[in-house]
Amino acid sequence: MLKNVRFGNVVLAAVALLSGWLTLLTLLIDGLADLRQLLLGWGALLMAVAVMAGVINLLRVHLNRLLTQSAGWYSLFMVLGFGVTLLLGLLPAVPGELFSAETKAALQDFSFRYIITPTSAALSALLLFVLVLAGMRVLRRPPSFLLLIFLATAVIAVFNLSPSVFTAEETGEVGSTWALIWAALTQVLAVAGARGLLIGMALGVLATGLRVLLALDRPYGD
Amino acid sequence: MVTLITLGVLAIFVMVLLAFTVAARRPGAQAVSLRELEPLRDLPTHVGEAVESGRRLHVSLGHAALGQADTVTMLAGLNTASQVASVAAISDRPPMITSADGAATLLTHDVLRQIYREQNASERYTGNAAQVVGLSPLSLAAGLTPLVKDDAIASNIVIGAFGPEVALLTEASQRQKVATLGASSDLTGQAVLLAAADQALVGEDVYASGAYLSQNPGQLAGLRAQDVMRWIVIIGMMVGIALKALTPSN
Repeated sequence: MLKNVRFGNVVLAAVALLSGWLTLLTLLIDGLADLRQLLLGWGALLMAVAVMAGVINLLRVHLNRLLTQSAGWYSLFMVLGFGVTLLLGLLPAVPGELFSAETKAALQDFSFRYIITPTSAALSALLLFVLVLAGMRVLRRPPSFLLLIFLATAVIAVFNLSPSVFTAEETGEVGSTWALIWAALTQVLAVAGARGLLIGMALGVLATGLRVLLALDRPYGD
Repeated sequence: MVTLITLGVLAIFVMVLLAFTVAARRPGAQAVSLRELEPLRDLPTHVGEAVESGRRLHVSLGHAALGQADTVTMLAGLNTASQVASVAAISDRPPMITSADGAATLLTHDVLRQIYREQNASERYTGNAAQVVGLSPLSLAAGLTPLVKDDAIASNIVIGAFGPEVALLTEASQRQKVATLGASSDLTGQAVLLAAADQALVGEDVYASGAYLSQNPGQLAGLRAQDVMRWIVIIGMMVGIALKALTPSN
């Protein structure tokens, strides 16, 4: 039976379990703050390497798509954008004789102000329309109890976000029936529902995390 | 005091989890009956159809990252992804798993390599099976939209950390008539998926999907432990409310 156990897996499991339990204990016991800082420092270093690995993977996938001509213009724009952004990021390291400090700052500012920020803003704006479209599609689904609750909640949420429709403080109707119903809907039912979901999810997170810490699940192999 | 209570709850959870796991692994242990989750009931059918049609399954872990607050969400998503991959690995177009985190992708490669090796199909494993598509939530969603069309995706399974930006993917999938099963650890993402995805998991079901798909007794024991802890939390809250109500205010 022991022949089937790979030494590498044992080492990986031991490192994962030890660091997992140590991190958990340092979060619960105040006297272990220094150890927590040390572990977090190591973690941050590993995270930086992981980000590099992610960037290399991203670039490799898109270069592969370009070479095999399996994608449209997206990959070309991605690779070009990556190259330009990388060059702009490396500009401060270029000796001052080639570019003045003002030119470097202006080039970086240009890329953020006129390319990156507007593109992100445009995508966010597009998201708004997509969300409205998704809301419209819900109406075409066969009716169900959950759907009815969902739609009623969405309508109430829209009212809640609109300017002072039922805001008791502004209308001076604190304690009125409407104000009480409104408070019951938005502060009791909504908060209770959200807390119920969050407590359930917290238990799910705990169960999944503990299964990894107890080595009942081992999401690491080679 | 708070630390003691936290350690106590943790100790109880560990004991309950271990007790159910040991009981589930005992020879002759009875099968656990679970409430039916409609999205997960249909998932094996979607996976089978994708394999037969020669199209690719796409699983996205979202922007959940290893070492961050949503590490466990990423692991839960990866568990589901590995269940799907182990069934669909024989397909002409093996499943593709995407994320927004380099470490998550490295771990995904590791899990996939193991699955292919166990099936004696290591030669079918390619470096493109796990991909980083974007490094932020919005860039991930933007990067996923062309994938649906370009990679002949049969079904999307988005399970992990997703905010409202997941609507970009569901919209692109709707246009290509590609079904999407969605589950997010983010409440806003859950609401969007409930409206925009064909099937959606809500609340703690995000973390239960791996156990439902694998039917592994050990993982199912985790769900039973979760149910026991839920009752303990409910009783604790009721006792707290009663004590609060009975304590005379100054």
